[in-house]
Amino acid sequence: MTKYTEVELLAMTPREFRNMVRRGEWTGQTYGVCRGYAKTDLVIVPKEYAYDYIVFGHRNPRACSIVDMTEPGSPHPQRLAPDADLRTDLPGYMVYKDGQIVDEPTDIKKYWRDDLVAFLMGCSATMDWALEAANVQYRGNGVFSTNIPCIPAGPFHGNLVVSCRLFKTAHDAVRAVQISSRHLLFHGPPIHIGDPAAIGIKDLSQPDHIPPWGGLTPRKPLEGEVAMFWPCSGTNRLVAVESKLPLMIVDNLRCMFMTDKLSEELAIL
Amino acid sequence: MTSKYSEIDMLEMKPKEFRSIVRSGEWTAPTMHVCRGYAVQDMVILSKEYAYDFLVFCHMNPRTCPVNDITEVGSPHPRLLAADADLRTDLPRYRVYKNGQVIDEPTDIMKYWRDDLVGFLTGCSGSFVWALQAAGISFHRNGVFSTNIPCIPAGPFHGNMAVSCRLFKTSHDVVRAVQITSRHFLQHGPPIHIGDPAAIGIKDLSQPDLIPATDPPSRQTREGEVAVFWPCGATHRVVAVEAKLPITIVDYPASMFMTDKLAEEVAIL
Repeated sequence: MTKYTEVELLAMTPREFRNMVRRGEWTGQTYGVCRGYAKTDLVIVPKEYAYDYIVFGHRNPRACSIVDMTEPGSPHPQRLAPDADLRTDLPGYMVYKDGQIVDEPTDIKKYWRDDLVAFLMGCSATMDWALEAANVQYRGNGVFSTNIPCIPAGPFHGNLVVSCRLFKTAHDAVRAVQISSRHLLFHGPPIHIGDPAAIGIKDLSQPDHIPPWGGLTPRKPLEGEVAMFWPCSGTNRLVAVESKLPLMIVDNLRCMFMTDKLSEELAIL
Repeated sequence: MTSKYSEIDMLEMKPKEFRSIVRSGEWTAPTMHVCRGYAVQDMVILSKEYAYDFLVFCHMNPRTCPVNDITEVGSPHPRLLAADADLRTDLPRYRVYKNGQVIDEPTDIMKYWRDDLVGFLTGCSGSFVWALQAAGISFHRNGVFSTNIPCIPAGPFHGNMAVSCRLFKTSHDVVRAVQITSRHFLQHGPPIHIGDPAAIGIKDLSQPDLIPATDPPSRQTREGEVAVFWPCGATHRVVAVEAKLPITIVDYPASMFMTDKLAEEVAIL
């Protein structure tokens, strides 16, 4: 699928990665690339709905921490990567009309309009670099919807979606709380620790949103493992369905935007 | 200000009771040395027409304007921070701007309220002084200054950052203050500058141009002392003047809104 080795992909700069995506040479996931750099999820809505969306983000800051937003009609995120183009630089998109998915293209040039505003939201995959750097032992276990309602704003409502990670020991879990707390703009610390049923998740081996990356099989915790759950921007896809906007575009599953900022550059401690 | 309450009564008072004595007109003094441990917020009220641009401004300047609650259009009730409070009556004093000019400094804003107004509450460093005190860090409050650091503009909103200045006895105190205030990320977080006031355009530390310290008064640093500067919600007042909106209402200097949340409850670590 690519002419680059795993090591080359990890050593790639964000600009190189985005250029490769823009040229159509990479339509895989935004994973295993650009070691240490921060990734964000994407939401695009018409200006008419942008105010309500910011209010939604503010009321649900753990789920939707808005790190950058564009001028209406501009696809360039000034703060995180001014030379990037949000219409072409993500590997895949989901286009919703009236709450229905109408397309899953690899660029959105034909959907772009002068009244669209793009928001970039912190993604927890960003703090995986920090967990890895601290040798925290865990595995990703997929993304689940919960029974925790977001606080609505205007048309935007829906339940919180969470990413699940299984930690080998309680010590690993404690370190993960400490480390992820530093990455507040990337969902910060876990929203829940332990029993999945307490947040409406029936079966940890059946993620209803996204399976674990890297081909891992989702499963229940083994003896001694601790399940922890982070708010996830997958929430935006649920919200897109529920809110039934005439047009809403989000990043496709695990097709996050790669920023020019190191994850540690944006950490708050 | 004469009051039937002693200093200790005021420190031990709960936010709901404090707001009620403000609402009844019994308390028009600063929101200082009251409700030990609780978070206070600066306030901005403007018409819905400008609310989107203001939110963009806050996003572009998150250290200065961390938005912690937004009311529904026409509602004076901040649902996240104190659902039963009324922003029209519950601050000791307000400043009302029309077209960038101060036209009134009333103790309530009932007569200015309209159905198209939106209230924003933003973090205030007055919230983390409890944490500094709890850690035994003594400092001299030295007032609020304008700087030569421009905020990133959005729509009509622009102006230079205002900062609060505190003088610390030792560099150890400064290190601790950086650590502690970093936990209070929603109340401006860590300092924006340490040391030479001239480097951020402040000519004379004994002459704060925005809010003077009293009791004891503002002064220069003494031998061994370190001046430390935090972004300040007074920036709103600078911006209100510059933006020249038909109407902007902010809290009067040192007359912040008292929330129902403990500062430690909304700390991020």
